[in-house]
Amino acid sequence: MLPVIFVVAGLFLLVFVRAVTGYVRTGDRLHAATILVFLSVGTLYFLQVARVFVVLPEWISVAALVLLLGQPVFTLRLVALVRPLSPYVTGSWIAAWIAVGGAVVLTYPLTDAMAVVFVGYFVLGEAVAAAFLAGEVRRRAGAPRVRLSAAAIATGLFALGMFLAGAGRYAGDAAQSFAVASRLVALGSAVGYLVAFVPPRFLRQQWSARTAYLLMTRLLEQSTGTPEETWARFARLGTEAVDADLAVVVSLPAAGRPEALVVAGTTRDELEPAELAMVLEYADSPGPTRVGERRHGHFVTRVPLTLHSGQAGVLVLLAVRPSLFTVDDITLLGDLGRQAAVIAERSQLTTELRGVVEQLRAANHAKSDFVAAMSHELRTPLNAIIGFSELMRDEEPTDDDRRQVPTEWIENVYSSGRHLLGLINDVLDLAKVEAGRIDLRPEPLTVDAAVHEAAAPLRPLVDAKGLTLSVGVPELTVRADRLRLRQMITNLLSNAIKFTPEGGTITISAHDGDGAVHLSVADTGPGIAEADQRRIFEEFQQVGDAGSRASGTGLGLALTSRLAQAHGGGVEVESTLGAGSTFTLNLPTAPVPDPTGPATHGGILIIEDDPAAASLLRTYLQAAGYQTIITANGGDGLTAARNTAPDVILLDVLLPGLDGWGVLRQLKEDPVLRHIPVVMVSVVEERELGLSLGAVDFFVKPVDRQALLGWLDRRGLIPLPPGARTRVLVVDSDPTGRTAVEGALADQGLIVFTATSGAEALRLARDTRFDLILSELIGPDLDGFSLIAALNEDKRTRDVPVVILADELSAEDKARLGDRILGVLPRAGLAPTDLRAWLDRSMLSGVKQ
Amino acid sequence: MTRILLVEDNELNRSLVRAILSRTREPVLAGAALSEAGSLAEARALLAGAAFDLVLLDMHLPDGSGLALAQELQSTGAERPAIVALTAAVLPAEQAATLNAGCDAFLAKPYTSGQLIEAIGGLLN
Repeated sequence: MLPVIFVVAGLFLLVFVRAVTGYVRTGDRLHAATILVFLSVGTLYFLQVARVFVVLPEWISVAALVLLLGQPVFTLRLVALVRPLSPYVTGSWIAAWIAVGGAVVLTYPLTDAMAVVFVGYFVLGEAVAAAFLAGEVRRRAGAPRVRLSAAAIATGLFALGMFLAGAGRYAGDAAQSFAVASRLVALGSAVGYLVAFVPPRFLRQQWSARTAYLLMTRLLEQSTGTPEETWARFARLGTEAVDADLAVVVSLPAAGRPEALVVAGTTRDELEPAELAMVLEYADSPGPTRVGERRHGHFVTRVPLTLHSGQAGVLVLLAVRPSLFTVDDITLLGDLGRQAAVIAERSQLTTELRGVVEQLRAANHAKSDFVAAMSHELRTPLNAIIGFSELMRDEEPTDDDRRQVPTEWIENVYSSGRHLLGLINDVLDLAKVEAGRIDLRPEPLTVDAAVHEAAAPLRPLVDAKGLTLSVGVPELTVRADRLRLRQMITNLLSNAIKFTPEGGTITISAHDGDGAVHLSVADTGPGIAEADQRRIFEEFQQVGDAGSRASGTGLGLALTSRLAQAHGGGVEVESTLGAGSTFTLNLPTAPVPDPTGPATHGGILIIEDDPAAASLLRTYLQAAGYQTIITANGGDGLTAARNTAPDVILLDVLLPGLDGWGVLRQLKEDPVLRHIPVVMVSVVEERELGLSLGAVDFFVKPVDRQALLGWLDRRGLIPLPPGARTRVLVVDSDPTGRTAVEGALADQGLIVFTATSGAEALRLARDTRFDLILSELIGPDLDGFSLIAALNEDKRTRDVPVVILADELSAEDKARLGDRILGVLPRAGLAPTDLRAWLDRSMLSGVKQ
Repeated sequence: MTRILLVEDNELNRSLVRAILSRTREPVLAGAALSEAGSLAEARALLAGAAFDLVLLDMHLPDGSGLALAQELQSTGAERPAIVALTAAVLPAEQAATLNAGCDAFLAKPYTSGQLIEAIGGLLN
């Protein structure tokens, strides 16, 4: 008997120590409750060992028995921690403990009757506890299920042990065997409790490994979908792994509030607002992680995570019942979270890649479609050109090698050629806009003037169809590139002309609002079906009847829309089938010039705070005929730049407040102002810095007058003060054309000289200083290239700007003339106002057209 | 008398075919009558009202592809007119599609008058 007592007491001591170390490690209340369960019976066995060596006073034995009677109560307390238990159950057993304990104290040593009561009380209490635990087993899954089963069995074994101990009293000779059996059963019970509530490491590892394997397999089963789907799967697996009711993945952004990413649960997938608030607050609260903290009626546990974006996150597990999981489960979920992050990251990448592939595929498609459409659009006019010219070639020549062909054929070849040219120009423009390489020179433009400028050449078409063109545009100013604005209006207007039936009406109107001018071209054409309204802005997407289609390139609206966007605006269409269409061009408005303020167009803006330096610059420039505006600080300078669109800005570096570098940066960041050349002026040479920040040149104070004026001259900036008598030489061998140009210029108050040959022009230019030479390129007695070469050779004429009078220059000619010419001016159909405006613009801004 | 239907939306190209046919010395085409349609709808209307010996069919029409009309004609049976596809689509796959749809000959734009006459003459003879 003795060895058994020693062995059982020793093993109990081990179990007890194991439970205590477990509690110390985790602070888990389950561990504490388990220790109490062992404590009572452990004490009894320990006393039996002690009794072998010393005689113990009776009261110690009584106290040990009373403590042993507490065992069912402690067990029920443990049950209450893992499942809801009515307080009456625990309460009644506490009452029973007091009653039976009192009886034991009063009647010690135990009578037979008392022993029956004692064992009965014990067995009943343990059986109830075991039944409660067994009932809970069915509700749980995985490792918790195993552990609760172990607990239920352990409790049942304990009842059996007590029963055996009691029965030993009546066993006579077999009493010894009963005592040994009861102790062994009690030991088995203790091991069961240990497995259930303080599982040893090897068991935990085995459970973890098994759980990890199952979870990982299921997590990896599906590695596609959005990151959110991956996290939802992870959360769901989390609830199953630790037997929680709800799992919430919360992201914790470094800056900003925590946010619930996904919610997954066994019975529901959403949180009550109060729960959500609790979860977010708990997720973000500082302090170490504890298993199953009690908050707002939930047992909550958090597992720190790193989300796919590298952002900190937390998995919050909520359970209505106390959880059985341990710190190991948290570690496991943390590891699983890392895998989920990898999967989420990969799925995000896959989604992104899929999007990119889709985009590329679409772009490739669009390109193929464009090439196919372009091929078609090119072949159609080419077919007419080749076909008709072939017919002409096949006509029998007359004696003097001339052929008689119908004029219609020639007309057809010509108009097909023009169409082809228009098509190629539009395609090039479109490509330029798309590549962001279109060179826009926005300036304040009067809408009314732009509309008339665009409408004038289209007038014959309007008249030919008997259309009424009604223009009612109030005084509005837009910020736009002059040529492109005309191109956009022309496109919209020719579209309207094309689609409006004979006798119809086209109305052009405009209003401003929201910082934009809205210019509308309304027609009484057939209208555009709602389904086609988006399509018409795409390349080569023509709708409508065949006759109208044939006359367009199919690019006009696409180009107009892109050009408007490049200006910071857009084109919209409103249309009802059968009730006409209205195209509205939206462009940023330009401030209406203040009549009392500085001149609106051109001039040189001086931003300089030192009045003496500013005044000196002004003197130099005004004496040379330039208009100047002075502002004393950067802010005013930027405003003046916006309002007056200067041709050049002279910018001091040292300024009060915003310094010159800051002003330069703001100028270069402004889509409109960035085109204005800026010359930095400072006492310290910082040319490299200035050029790297976008300045075109750098002058060191004091500024050398000759250097400055020479620089402006080289930039092609010709001073044109109001009322100055500018001398212009017109070189044109055709008397009609010459007279027309001469008249137009003379009307503008310019002094006009004329020449009919290159030699005459050269002689005049050497005698008289001209501000401008207008020359045709090739005439009977004139070769424009030789004339320019000769002008370049003489230093008196080298700097005189030359404008070529021609409808259009070939690319080859343009390349040959290069920068030497200021631009090309169409001779035909030139209204005097157009000419003046063109000259103003070209000469003041140095546009190389 | 040979009756030819030209289905082509581009006025200049219609005018070209007209000129080529009026100048040709090909005997089969002497005194041929040419009708013109600018769209599939017009072509269908003309085909419903009269019998044609040959259709010059542009593939790229405002109300759809010429392929559709070629297929319709083919499904009407043996009495259908010969079809010459006129198209700016020149990829082999597109050519195959045209011929599969029941076109008897294929002319890629830009075509010469010789090619056009040869194609028409070959089918009518």
